[in-house]
Amino acid sequence: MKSETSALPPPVQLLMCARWDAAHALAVKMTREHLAAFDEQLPDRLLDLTLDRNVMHSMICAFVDRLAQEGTEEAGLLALAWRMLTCDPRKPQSFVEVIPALSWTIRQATFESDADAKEACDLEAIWWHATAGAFVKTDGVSIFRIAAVETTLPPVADDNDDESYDPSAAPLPPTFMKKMMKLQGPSVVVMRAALAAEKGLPAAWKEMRDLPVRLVVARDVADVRELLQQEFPHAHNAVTLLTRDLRDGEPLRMQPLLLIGPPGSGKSRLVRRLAEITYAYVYRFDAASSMDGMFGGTPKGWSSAQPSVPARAILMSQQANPIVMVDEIEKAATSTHNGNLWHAMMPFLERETSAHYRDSGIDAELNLSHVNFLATANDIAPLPGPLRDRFRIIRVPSPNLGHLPTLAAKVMSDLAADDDFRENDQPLAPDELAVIGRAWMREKFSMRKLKRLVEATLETRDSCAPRH
Amino acid sequence: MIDDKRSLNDAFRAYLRGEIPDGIEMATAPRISDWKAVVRECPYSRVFELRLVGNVARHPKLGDGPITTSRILWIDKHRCVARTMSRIYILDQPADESS
Repeated sequence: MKSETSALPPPVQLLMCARWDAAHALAVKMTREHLAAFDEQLPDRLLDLTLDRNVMHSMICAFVDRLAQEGTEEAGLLALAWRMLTCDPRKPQSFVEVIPALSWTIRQATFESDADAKEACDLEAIWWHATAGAFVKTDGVSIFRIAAVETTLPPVADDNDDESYDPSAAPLPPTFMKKMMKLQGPSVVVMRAALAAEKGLPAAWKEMRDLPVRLVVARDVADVRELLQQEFPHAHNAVTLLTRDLRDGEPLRMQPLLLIGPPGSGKSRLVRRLAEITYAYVYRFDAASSMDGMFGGTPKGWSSAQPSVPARAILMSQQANPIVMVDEIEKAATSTHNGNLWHAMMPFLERETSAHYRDSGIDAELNLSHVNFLATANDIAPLPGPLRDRFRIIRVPSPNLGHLPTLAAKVMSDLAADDDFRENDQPLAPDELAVIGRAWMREKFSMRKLKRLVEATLETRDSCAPRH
Repeated sequence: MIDDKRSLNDAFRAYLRGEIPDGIEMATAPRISDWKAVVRECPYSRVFELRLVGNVARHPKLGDGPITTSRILWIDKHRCVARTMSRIYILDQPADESS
Protein backbone atom coordinates (compact mmCIF):
# COMPACT_ATOMS: atom_id res chain seq x y z
CA MET A 1 0.00 0.00 0.00
CA LYS A 2 1.17 3.50 -0.74
CA SER A 3 1.77 5.70 2.25
CA GLU A 4 3.11 8.92 0.74
CA THR A 5 0.44 9.79 -1.79
CA SER A 6 -1.01 12.65 0.19
CA ALA A 7 -0.79 15.05 -2.74
CA LEU A 8 -3.15 12.96 -4.84
CA PRO A 9 -6.88 13.63 -4.74
CA PRO A 10 -8.85 11.16 -2.55
CA PRO A 11 -10.44 9.24 -5.45
CA VAL A 12 -7.01 8.50 -6.95
CA GLN A 13 -5.68 7.41 -3.56
CA LEU A 14 -8.62 5.04 -3.23
CA LEU A 15 -8.02 3.71 -6.70
CA MET A 16 -4.59 2.53 -5.57
CA CYS A 17 -6.06 0.44 -2.74
CA ALA A 18 -5.90 -3.29 -3.31
CA ARG A 19 -9.00 -4.23 -1.30
CA TRP A 20 -12.42 -2.81 -0.58
CA ASP A 21 -11.85 -2.64 3.19
CA ALA A 22 -8.51 -0.88 2.69
CA ALA A 23 -10.22 1.64 0.45
CA HIS A 24 -13.02 2.03 2.99
CA ALA A 25 -10.54 2.58 5.82
CA LEU A 26 -8.73 5.20 3.77
CA ALA A 27 -11.97 6.99 2.92
CA VAL A 28 -12.93 6.99 6.62
CA LYS A 29 -9.54 8.41 7.59
CA MET A 30 -9.62 11.19 4.99
CA THR A 31 -13.23 12.08 5.76
CA ARG A 32 -12.55 12.26 9.50
CA GLU A 33 -9.73 14.73 8.85
CA HIS A 34 -12.04 16.73 6.64
CA LEU A 35 -14.96 16.74 9.09
CA ALA A 36 -12.74 17.67 12.03
CA ALA A 37 -12.70 21.23 10.70
CA PHE A 38 -16.48 21.36 11.10
CA ASP A 39 -16.47 19.66 14.51
CA GLU A 40 -18.51 16.93 13.00
CA GLN A 41 -18.40 13.17 13.41
CA LEU A 42 -18.61 10.53 10.77
CA PRO A 43 -21.94 8.64 11.04
CA ASP A 44 -21.25 5.49 13.09
CA ARG A 45 -23.03 3.18 10.76
CA LEU A 46 -20.59 4.01 7.96
CA LEU A 47 -17.89 2.35 10.03
CA ASP A 48 -19.84 -0.84 10.61
CA LEU A 49 -18.34 -3.38 8.22
CA THR A 50 -20.75 -6.10 9.35
CA LEU A 51 -23.60 -4.31 7.60
CA ASP A 52 -25.17 -5.83 4.55
CA ARG A 53 -23.65 -4.35 1.41
CA ASN A 54 -26.95 -2.96 0.21
CA VAL A 55 -27.54 -1.17 3.50
CA MET A 56 -24.00 0.13 3.39
CA HIS A 57 -24.60 1.45 -0.11
CA SER A 58 -27.65 3.42 0.92
CA MET A 59 -25.78 4.75 3.95
CA ILE A 60 -23.01 5.91 1.67
CA CYS A 61 -25.49 7.55 -0.72
CA ALA A 62 -27.00 9.51 2.14
CA PHE A 63 -23.57 10.59 3.30
CA VAL A 64 -22.60 11.63 -0.23
CA ASP A 65 -25.61 13.95 -0.22
CA ARG A 66 -24.39 15.47 3.04
CA LEU A 67 -20.96 16.10 1.48
CA ALA A 68 -22.52 17.61 -1.63
CA GLN A 69 -24.34 20.19 0.49
CA GLU A 70 -21.02 21.59 1.58
CA GLY A 71 -20.47 22.94 -1.92
CA THR A 72 -16.68 22.74 -2.02
CA GLU A 73 -14.41 20.92 -4.45
CA GLU A 74 -12.73 19.12 -1.57
CA ALA A 75 -16.04 17.69 -0.40
CA GLY A 76 -16.93 16.83 -3.97
CA LEU A 77 -13.77 14.78 -4.34
CA LEU A 78 -14.47 12.99 -1.06
CA ALA A 79 -18.00 12.29 -2.24
CA LEU A 80 -16.59 10.79 -5.42
CA ALA A 81 -14.25 8.65 -3.34
CA TRP A 82 -17.17 7.35 -1.26
CA ARG A 83 -19.17 6.60 -4.37
CA MET A 84 -16.30 4.45 -5.66
CA LEU A 85 -17.07 2.18 -2.71
CA THR A 86 -20.57 1.56 -4.06
CA CYS A 87 -19.34 0.24 -7.40
CA ASP A 88 -20.18 -3.41 -7.86
CA PRO A 89 -18.59 -5.33 -10.75
CA ARG A 90 -21.73 -7.48 -10.97
CA LYS A 91 -23.75 -4.35 -11.76
CA PRO A 92 -21.93 -2.35 -14.43
CA GLN A 93 -24.63 0.30 -14.06
CA SER A 94 -23.22 1.18 -10.65
CA PHE A 95 -20.07 2.47 -12.35
CA VAL A 96 -21.77 4.81 -14.79
CA GLU A 97 -21.93 7.82 -12.50
CA VAL A 98 -18.48 7.28 -11.02
CA ILE A 99 -16.20 6.43 -13.91
CA PRO A 100 -16.33 9.63 -16.03
CA ALA A 101 -15.58 11.81 -13.02
CA LEU A 102 -12.93 9.40 -11.74
CA SER A 103 -11.26 9.31 -15.13
CA TRP A 104 -11.21 13.10 -15.36
CA THR A 105 -9.77 13.36 -11.85
CA ILE A 106 -6.97 10.94 -12.75
CA ARG A 107 -6.13 12.98 -15.86
CA GLN A 108 -5.85 16.15 -13.79
CA ALA A 109 -3.82 14.62 -10.96
CA THR A 110 -0.12 15.29 -10.61
CA PHE A 111 1.71 12.10 -9.87
CA GLU A 112 5.04 11.93 -8.11
CA SER A 113 6.53 9.54 -10.60
CA ASP A 114 5.75 8.11 -13.99
CA ALA A 115 5.46 4.69 -12.38
CA ASP A 116 2.59 5.93 -10.19
CA ALA A 117 0.89 7.52 -13.16
CA LYS A 118 1.17 4.31 -15.13
CA GLU A 119 -0.17 2.28 -12.23
CA ALA A 120 -3.17 4.58 -11.95
CA CYS A 121 -3.79 4.27 -15.69
CA ASP A 122 -3.59 0.48 -15.51
CA LEU A 123 -6.06 0.38 -12.63
CA GLU A 124 -8.35 2.84 -14.36
CA ALA A 125 -8.42 0.59 -17.44
CA ILE A 126 -9.75 -2.27 -15.29
CA TRP A 127 -12.46 0.01 -13.88
CA TRP A 128 -13.46 0.86 -17.41
CA HIS A 129 -13.65 -2.81 -18.31
CA ALA A 130 -15.85 -3.34 -15.29
CA THR A 131 -18.12 -0.55 -16.55
CA ALA A 132 -18.28 -2.33 -19.89
CA GLY A 133 -19.42 -5.44 -18.03
CA ALA A 134 -16.28 -7.57 -18.19
CA PHE A 135 -16.65 -8.83 -14.61
CA VAL A 136 -20.40 -9.39 -14.36
CA LYS A 137 -19.86 -13.05 -13.61
CA THR A 138 -17.41 -12.63 -10.75
CA ASP A 139 -18.66 -13.73 -7.40
CA GLY A 140 -19.07 -10.69 -5.21
CA VAL A 141 -15.44 -9.66 -5.39
CA SER A 142 -14.83 -5.93 -5.10
CA ILE A 143 -13.54 -3.93 -8.03
CA PHE A 144 -10.54 -2.88 -5.94
CA ARG A 145 -9.50 -6.50 -5.55
CA ILE A 146 -10.09 -7.30 -9.22
CA ALA A 147 -8.12 -4.29 -10.39
CA ALA A 148 -5.24 -5.09 -8.03
CA VAL A 149 -5.00 -8.69 -9.19
CA GLU A 150 -5.44 -7.87 -12.86
CA THR A 151 -2.68 -5.32 -12.80
CA THR A 152 -0.62 -7.53 -10.44
CA LEU A 153 0.03 -5.07 -7.72
CA PRO A 154 2.36 -6.48 -5.07
CA PRO A 155 0.35 -9.14 -3.23
CA VAL A 156 -1.37 -8.07 -0.04
CA ALA A 157 -1.17 -10.15 3.09
CA ASP A 158 -4.56 -11.79 3.47
CA ASP A 159 -5.52 -12.93 6.92
CA ASN A 160 -9.22 -13.42 6.54
CA ASP A 161 -9.53 -14.01 2.89
CA ASP A 162 -13.18 -13.30 2.25
CA GLU A 163 -12.24 -11.42 -0.89
CA SER A 164 -10.20 -14.08 -2.56
CA TYR A 165 -10.08 -13.49 -6.25
CA ASP A 166 -8.16 -15.87 -8.39
CA PRO A 167 -8.09 -14.86 -12.03
CA SER A 168 -7.29 -18.39 -13.17
CA ALA A 169 -10.21 -19.89 -11.24
CA ALA A 170 -12.71 -17.53 -12.82
CA PRO A 171 -11.46 -17.21 -16.38
CA LEU A 172 -12.23 -13.93 -18.03
CA PRO A 173 -14.39 -13.86 -21.10
CA PRO A 174 -12.28 -14.19 -24.24
CA THR A 175 -13.27 -10.76 -25.51
CA PHE A 176 -11.75 -9.26 -22.42
CA MET A 177 -8.48 -11.09 -22.90
CA LYS A 178 -8.41 -9.90 -26.46
CA LYS A 179 -8.98 -6.38 -25.27
CA MET A 180 -6.14 -6.74 -22.80
CA MET A 181 -3.90 -7.88 -25.63
CA LYS A 182 -4.93 -4.80 -27.50
CA LEU A 183 -3.91 -2.72 -24.53
CA GLN A 184 -0.31 -3.75 -25.17
CA GLY A 185 -0.43 -1.31 -28.05
CA PRO A 186 0.11 -1.61 -31.77
CA SER A 187 3.21 -3.07 -33.31
CA VAL A 188 4.55 -3.94 -36.72
CA VAL A 189 7.06 -6.46 -38.03
CA VAL A 190 9.92 -4.47 -39.50
CA MET A 191 11.92 -7.38 -40.85
CA ARG A 192 10.13 -10.40 -42.21
CA ALA A 193 12.18 -13.56 -41.84
CA ALA A 194 11.29 -14.73 -45.34
CA LEU A 195 12.91 -11.64 -46.82
CA ALA A 196 16.02 -11.62 -44.67
CA ALA A 197 18.40 -14.56 -44.88
CA GLU A 198 19.71 -15.31 -41.42
CA LYS A 199 23.16 -16.15 -42.66
CA GLY A 200 25.51 -13.22 -42.49
CA LEU A 201 23.05 -11.01 -40.67
CA PRO A 202 24.58 -9.00 -37.81
CA ALA A 203 23.66 -10.49 -34.43
CA ALA A 204 21.50 -7.55 -33.39
CA TRP A 205 19.45 -7.84 -36.55
CA LYS A 206 18.99 -11.60 -36.24
CA GLU A 207 16.71 -10.98 -33.27
CA MET A 208 14.63 -8.58 -35.32
CA ARG A 209 13.48 -11.26 -37.76
CA ASP A 210 9.70 -11.58 -37.51
CA LEU A 211 9.77 -9.63 -34.26
CA PRO A 212 6.85 -7.25 -33.77
CA VAL A 213 8.26 -3.81 -33.04
CA ARG A 214 6.28 -1.39 -30.91
CA LEU A 215 4.71 1.70 -32.47
CA VAL A 216 4.70 4.85 -30.37
CA VAL A 217 1.14 6.06 -29.91
CA ALA A 218 0.19 9.74 -29.73
CA ARG A 219 -1.72 10.70 -26.60
CA ASP A 220 -3.45 13.90 -25.56
CA VAL A 221 -2.52 15.66 -28.77
CA ALA A 222 -4.30 18.86 -27.72
CA ASP A 223 -2.15 19.01 -24.58
CA VAL A 224 1.03 18.35 -26.55
CA ARG A 225 0.17 21.18 -28.91
CA GLU A 226 -0.70 23.54 -26.09
CA LEU A 227 2.52 22.79 -24.24
CA LEU A 228 4.68 23.32 -27.33
CA GLN A 229 2.88 26.54 -28.16
CA GLN A 230 3.60 27.81 -24.68
CA GLU A 231 7.27 26.92 -24.99
CA PHE A 232 7.60 28.30 -28.52
CA PRO A 233 5.29 31.31 -28.49
CA HIS A 234 6.88 32.70 -31.64
CA ALA A 235 6.19 29.51 -33.60
CA HIS A 236 2.49 29.16 -32.84
CA ASN A 237 1.54 28.30 -36.41
CA ALA A 238 4.54 26.06 -36.92
CA VAL A 239 3.51 23.97 -33.90
CA THR A 240 -0.03 23.69 -35.24
CA LEU A 241 1.28 22.41 -38.56
CA LEU A 242 3.83 20.16 -36.92
CA THR A 243 1.19 18.41 -34.81
CA ARG A 244 -1.50 18.40 -37.47
CA ASP A 245 -1.02 14.76 -38.44
CA LEU A 246 -1.16 13.45 -34.89
CA ARG A 247 -4.33 11.68 -33.80
CA ASP A 248 -5.21 10.72 -30.26
CA GLY A 249 -4.68 7.04 -29.68
CA GLU A 250 -3.15 6.36 -33.05
CA PRO A 251 0.49 5.63 -33.85
CA LEU A 252 2.68 8.69 -34.20
CA ARG A 253 2.80 9.30 -37.91
CA MET A 254 3.76 12.47 -39.71
CA GLN A 255 4.31 13.40 -43.31
CA PRO A 256 7.94 14.31 -44.03
CA LEU A 257 8.24 17.84 -42.69
CA LEU A 258 10.86 20.47 -43.40
CA LEU A 259 11.25 23.25 -40.85
CA ILE A 260 12.69 26.39 -42.39
CA GLY A 261 13.81 29.33 -40.34
CA PRO A 262 16.71 31.61 -39.47
CA PRO A 263 19.56 30.23 -37.31
CA GLY A 264 18.65 30.05 -33.66
CA SER A 265 14.88 30.13 -34.11
CA GLY A 266 14.61 26.87 -32.22
CA LYS A 267 13.86 24.43 -35.06
CA SER A 268 15.91 21.49 -33.80
CA ARG A 269 14.81 22.14 -30.26
CA LEU A 270 11.18 22.11 -31.34
CA VAL A 271 11.64 18.68 -32.91
CA ARG A 272 13.45 17.37 -29.85
CA ARG A 273 10.78 18.68 -27.49
CA LEU A 274 8.02 17.15 -29.62
CA ALA A 275 9.80 13.82 -29.37
CA GLU A 276 10.31 14.14 -25.63
CA ILE A 277 6.68 14.91 -24.98
CA THR A 278 5.40 12.13 -27.19
CA TYR A 279 8.01 9.61 -25.96
CA ALA A 280 9.32 9.08 -29.47
CA TYR A 281 12.98 8.40 -30.15
CA VAL A 282 14.97 10.93 -32.19
CA TYR A 283 17.88 9.90 -34.35
CA ARG A 284 19.75 13.05 -35.26
CA PHE A 285 21.62 13.05 -38.54
CA ASP A 286 23.86 15.97 -39.29
CA ALA A 287 23.62 16.75 -42.98
CA ALA A 288 26.56 19.16 -42.92
CA SER A 289 29.02 16.36 -42.24
CA SER A 290 27.58 13.93 -44.76
CA MET A 291 29.64 13.65 -47.89
CA ASP A 292 28.09 10.65 -49.55
CA GLY A 293 25.03 8.47 -49.69
CA MET A 294 25.70 6.81 -46.34
CA PHE A 295 22.21 7.72 -45.22
CA GLY A 296 20.93 4.83 -47.31
CA GLY A 297 23.44 2.38 -45.87
CA THR A 298 26.87 1.15 -46.93
CA PRO A 299 26.66 -2.05 -48.97
CA LYS A 300 27.45 -5.29 -47.25
CA GLY A 301 30.86 -6.48 -48.40
CA TRP A 302 32.59 -3.26 -47.49
CA SER A 303 34.36 -3.42 -44.16
CA SER A 304 32.39 -0.37 -43.11
CA ALA A 305 29.05 -1.99 -44.00
CA GLN A 306 26.17 -0.34 -42.19
CA PRO A 307 22.43 -0.36 -42.55
CA SER A 308 20.61 2.83 -43.47
CA VAL A 309 19.97 5.58 -40.95
CA PRO A 310 16.22 4.86 -40.54
CA ALA A 311 16.99 1.16 -39.97
CA ARG A 312 19.58 2.07 -37.35
CA ALA A 313 17.06 4.36 -35.66
CA ILE A 314 14.58 1.48 -35.39
CA LEU A 315 17.20 -0.92 -34.06
CA MET A 316 18.43 1.54 -31.45
CA SER A 317 15.03 2.64 -30.26
CA GLN A 318 13.11 -0.62 -30.69
CA GLN A 319 10.32 1.56 -31.97
CA ALA A 320 8.94 1.09 -35.46
CA ASN A 321 8.15 4.78 -35.81
CA PRO A 322 11.08 6.79 -34.43
CA ILE A 323 11.80 10.30 -35.66
CA VAL A 324 14.80 10.74 -37.95
CA MET A 325 15.84 14.38 -37.76
CA VAL A 326 18.09 15.55 -40.58
CA ASP A 327 19.64 18.73 -39.30
CA GLU A 328 20.62 21.52 -41.70
CA ILE A 329 19.66 19.48 -44.71
CA GLU A 330 20.61 22.24 -47.14
CA LYS A 331 24.26 22.06 -46.03
CA ALA A 332 24.86 18.53 -47.38
CA ALA A 333 27.76 18.20 -49.82
CA THR A 334 26.52 18.60 -53.36
CA SER A 335 29.04 16.30 -55.04
CA THR A 336 27.47 13.07 -56.22
CA HIS A 337 30.80 11.24 -56.42
CA ASN A 338 29.92 8.64 -53.75
CA GLY A 339 26.24 9.32 -53.81
CA ASN A 340 24.68 12.21 -52.04
CA LEU A 341 22.45 12.66 -49.01
CA TRP A 342 19.56 14.19 -50.94
CA HIS A 343 19.41 11.36 -53.44
CA ALA A 344 19.89 8.76 -50.74
CA MET A 345 16.96 10.19 -48.75
CA MET A 346 14.44 10.16 -51.57
CA PRO A 347 13.33 6.52 -51.40
CA PHE A 348 12.53 6.83 -47.71
CA LEU A 349 10.19 9.72 -48.22
CA GLU A 350 7.71 7.70 -50.27
CA ARG A 351 5.66 5.26 -48.21
CA GLU A 352 5.41 2.86 -51.15
CA THR A 353 9.16 2.42 -51.51
CA SER A 354 10.05 2.63 -47.84
CA ALA A 355 7.61 -0.16 -46.99
CA HIS A 356 9.77 -2.56 -49.00
CA TYR A 357 13.22 -1.08 -48.69
CA ARG A 358 16.05 -3.48 -49.42
CA ASP A 359 18.76 -2.31 -47.10
CA SER A 360 22.08 -2.94 -48.79
CA GLY A 361 23.93 -2.74 -45.48
CA ILE A 362 22.41 -5.95 -44.17
CA ASP A 363 20.97 -7.27 -47.41
CA ALA A 364 17.44 -7.62 -46.11
CA GLU A 365 14.09 -6.13 -46.95
CA LEU A 366 12.73 -3.85 -44.25
CA ASN A 367 9.48 -2.05 -43.65
CA LEU A 368 10.58 1.48 -42.86
CA SER A 369 7.32 3.12 -43.81
CA HIS A 370 6.48 4.13 -40.24
CA VAL A 371 9.65 6.13 -39.66
CA ASN A 372 8.97 9.87 -39.40
CA PHE A 373 11.29 12.25 -41.21
CA LEU A 374 11.75 15.79 -39.97
CA ALA A 375 14.38 18.02 -41.50
CA THR A 376 15.56 21.50 -40.64
CA ALA A 377 17.10 24.11 -42.89
CA ASN A 378 17.95 27.80 -42.87
CA ASP A 379 17.25 28.19 -46.53
CA ILE A 380 15.27 26.20 -49.04
CA ALA A 381 17.02 27.42 -52.21
CA PRO A 382 19.87 24.87 -52.44
CA LEU A 383 17.52 21.89 -52.20
CA PRO A 384 16.71 20.08 -55.46
CA GLY A 385 13.09 20.30 -56.57
CA PRO A 386 12.19 16.60 -56.26
CA LEU A 387 13.33 16.56 -52.63
CA ARG A 388 11.47 19.78 -51.88
CA ASP A 389 8.28 18.29 -53.29
CA ARG A 390 8.44 15.37 -50.91
CA PHE A 391 8.44 17.56 -47.81
CA ARG A 392 5.72 19.70 -46.36
CA ILE A 393 7.35 23.03 -45.61
CA ILE A 394 6.84 24.71 -42.25
CA ARG A 395 8.27 28.15 -41.61
CA VAL A 396 9.59 28.87 -38.12
CA PRO A 397 9.96 32.62 -37.62
CA SER A 398 12.46 34.26 -35.26
CA PRO A 399 11.06 35.33 -31.95
CA ASN A 400 10.85 39.05 -31.20
CA LEU A 401 11.05 41.23 -28.12
CA GLY A 402 7.42 40.52 -27.27
CA HIS A 403 8.28 36.87 -26.65
CA LEU A 404 11.22 37.68 -24.40
CA PRO A 405 9.50 37.39 -20.99
CA THR A 406 8.02 33.94 -21.78
CA LEU A 407 11.16 32.60 -23.42
CA ALA A 408 13.46 33.97 -20.71
CA ALA A 409 11.27 32.39 -18.04
CA LYS A 410 11.53 29.08 -19.88
CA VAL A 411 15.33 29.39 -20.04
CA MET A 412 15.34 30.08 -16.30
CA SER A 413 13.34 26.97 -15.54
CA ASP A 414 15.59 24.89 -17.82
CA LEU A 415 18.64 26.21 -16.00
CA ALA A 416 17.03 25.39 -12.66
CA ALA A 417 16.37 21.85 -13.86
CA ASP A 418 20.05 21.42 -14.75
CA ASP A 419 21.55 23.11 -11.74
CA ASP A 420 20.36 22.97 -8.14
CA PHE A 421 22.03 26.28 -7.32
CA ARG A 422 19.77 28.01 -9.80
CA GLU A 423 16.61 26.66 -8.20
CA ASN A 424 16.10 29.54 -5.80
CA ASP A 425 16.82 32.29 -8.29
CA GLN A 426 14.41 35.17 -8.34
CA PRO A 427 12.62 35.74 -11.66
CA LEU A 428 14.24 38.27 -13.97
CA ALA A 429 13.45 41.86 -13.05
CA PRO A 430 12.13 44.29 -15.67
CA ASP A 431 15.45 46.17 -15.84
CA GLU A 432 17.34 42.91 -16.32
CA LEU A 433 14.93 41.91 -19.09
CA ALA A 434 15.47 45.29 -20.75
CA VAL A 435 19.24 44.76 -20.78
CA ILE A 436 18.87 41.23 -22.11
CA GLY A 437 16.43 42.46 -24.73
CA ARG A 438 18.85 45.03 -26.08
CA ALA A 439 21.68 42.52 -26.31
CA TRP A 440 19.37 39.92 -27.79
CA MET A 441 18.27 42.26 -30.53
CA ARG A 442 21.92 42.63 -31.57
CA GLU A 443 22.15 38.82 -31.71
CA LYS A 444 19.23 38.67 -34.16
CA PHE A 445 16.93 37.00 -31.62
CA SER A 446 18.69 33.66 -31.53
CA MET A 447 17.36 31.24 -28.91
CA ARG A 448 20.87 29.87 -28.34
CA LYS A 449 22.17 33.34 -27.61
CA LEU A 450 19.25 34.01 -25.30
CA LYS A 451 20.30 31.14 -23.07
CA ARG A 452 23.81 32.56 -22.81
CA LEU A 453 22.47 36.05 -22.14
CA VAL A 454 20.26 34.82 -19.31
CA GLU A 455 23.13 32.81 -17.86
CA ALA A 456 25.42 35.82 -18.00
CA THR A 457 22.78 37.99 -16.32
CA LEU A 458 22.35 35.50 -13.50
CA GLU A 459 26.11 35.26 -13.02
CA THR A 460 26.42 39.04 -12.84
CA ARG A 461 23.59 39.09 -10.35
CA ASP A 462 25.35 36.43 -8.24
CA SER A 463 28.64 38.30 -8.25
CA CYS A 464 26.94 41.51 -7.14
CA ALA A 465 24.82 39.80 -4.49
CA PRO A 466 25.57 40.81 -0.89
CA ARG A 467 27.31 38.04 1.06
CA HIS A 468 27.13 37.39 4.75
CA MET B 1 -9.25 23.93 -28.13
CA ILE B 2 -7.36 25.36 -25.18
CA ASP B 3 -10.27 27.45 -23.99
CA ASP B 4 -12.44 24.40 -24.39
CA LYS B 5 -10.25 22.45 -22.08
CA ARG B 6 -10.20 25.21 -19.51
CA SER B 7 -13.94 25.62 -19.54
CA LEU B 8 -14.35 21.87 -19.19
CA ASN B 9 -12.15 22.01 -16.14
CA ASP B 10 -14.31 24.77 -14.74
CA ALA B 11 -17.41 22.73 -15.49
CA PHE B 12 -15.92 19.79 -13.66
CA ARG B 13 -15.03 21.91 -10.66
CA ALA B 14 -18.55 23.28 -10.55
CA TYR B 15 -19.81 19.69 -10.59
CA LEU B 16 -17.57 18.83 -7.63
CA ARG B 17 -19.01 21.81 -5.77
CA GLY B 18 -22.45 20.39 -6.48
CA GLU B 19 -23.53 23.41 -8.48
CA ILE B 20 -26.39 22.99 -10.90
CA PRO B 21 -25.67 24.25 -14.44
CA ASP B 22 -27.22 27.68 -14.86
CA GLY B 23 -30.82 28.24 -15.86
CA ILE B 24 -30.29 29.21 -19.47
CA GLU B 25 -28.09 26.24 -20.14
CA MET B 26 -30.64 23.92 -18.55
CA ALA B 27 -33.58 25.52 -20.32
CA THR B 28 -32.01 25.14 -23.74
CA ALA B 29 -30.48 21.71 -23.13
CA PRO B 30 -31.63 18.86 -25.35
CA ARG B 31 -33.47 15.96 -23.71
CA ILE B 32 -32.35 12.42 -24.27
CA SER B 33 -34.70 9.48 -23.76
CA ASP B 34 -34.27 5.68 -23.87
CA TRP B 35 -30.68 6.44 -23.11
CA LYS B 36 -27.91 4.08 -22.23
CA ALA B 37 -24.31 4.78 -21.23
CA VAL B 38 -21.86 3.00 -23.49
CA VAL B 39 -18.13 2.45 -22.96
CA ARG B 40 -15.99 3.05 -25.98
CA GLU B 41 -12.30 2.28 -26.23
CA CYS B 42 -10.24 4.32 -28.65
CA PRO B 43 -8.35 2.02 -30.98
CA TYR B 44 -4.74 1.23 -30.11
CA SER B 45 -4.72 3.14 -26.89
CA ARG B 46 -5.89 2.94 -23.37
CA VAL B 47 -8.17 5.90 -23.70
CA PHE B 48 -11.68 4.97 -22.67
CA GLU B 49 -14.75 7.09 -22.74
CA LEU B 50 -18.40 6.90 -21.83
CA ARG B 51 -21.02 8.12 -24.27
CA LEU B 52 -24.78 8.34 -24.20
CA VAL B 53 -26.80 6.53 -26.82
CA GLY B 54 -30.49 7.31 -27.14
CA ASN B 55 -33.16 9.44 -28.73
CA VAL B 56 -32.64 13.16 -28.53
CA ALA B 57 -35.13 15.97 -28.75
CA ARG B 58 -34.40 19.66 -29.32
CA HIS B 59 -30.72 19.20 -30.06
CA PRO B 60 -29.45 22.57 -31.33
CA LYS B 61 -27.54 21.02 -34.23
CA LEU B 62 -29.12 17.64 -34.81
CA GLY B 63 -32.76 18.31 -34.04
CA ASP B 64 -34.62 15.17 -33.03
CA GLY B 65 -33.70 11.55 -33.53
CA PRO B 66 -31.26 8.82 -32.51
CA ILE B 67 -27.91 10.06 -31.27
CA THR B 68 -24.56 9.08 -29.83
CA THR B 69 -23.22 11.93 -27.78
CA SER B 70 -19.63 13.03 -27.32
CA ARG B 71 -17.66 11.89 -24.29
CA ILE B 72 -19.35 12.29 -20.92
CA LEU B 73 -17.60 14.52 -18.41
CA TRP B 74 -19.98 13.74 -15.58
CA ILE B 75 -23.42 12.25 -15.20
CA ASP B 76 -25.87 12.67 -12.34
CA LYS B 77 -28.77 10.25 -12.60
CA HIS B 78 -30.34 11.62 -9.45
CA ARG B 79 -30.71 15.10 -10.87
CA CYS B 80 -31.20 13.78 -14.39
CA VAL B 81 -28.36 15.78 -15.94
CA ALA B 82 -25.28 14.76 -17.89
CA ARG B 83 -22.46 16.98 -19.11
CA THR B 84 -20.64 15.89 -22.25
CA MET B 85 -17.65 17.53 -23.93
CA SER B 86 -19.97 19.75 -25.91
CA ARG B 87 -23.15 20.36 -23.92
CA ILE B 88 -25.58 19.48 -21.19
CA TYR B 89 -28.24 16.82 -21.67
CA ILE B 90 -31.35 16.36 -19.63
CA LEU B 91 -31.92 12.69 -18.96
CA ASP B 92 -35.39 11.33 -19.59
CA GLN B 93 -36.44 7.74 -19.25
CA PRO B 94 -33.41 5.41 -19.51
CA ALA B 95 -33.52 2.35 -21.74
CA ASP B 96 -34.42 -0.98 -20.15
CA GLU B 97 -31.63 -1.85 -17.80
CA SER B 98 -31.68 -5.51 -18.56
CA SER B 99 -27.95 -5.75 -19.06
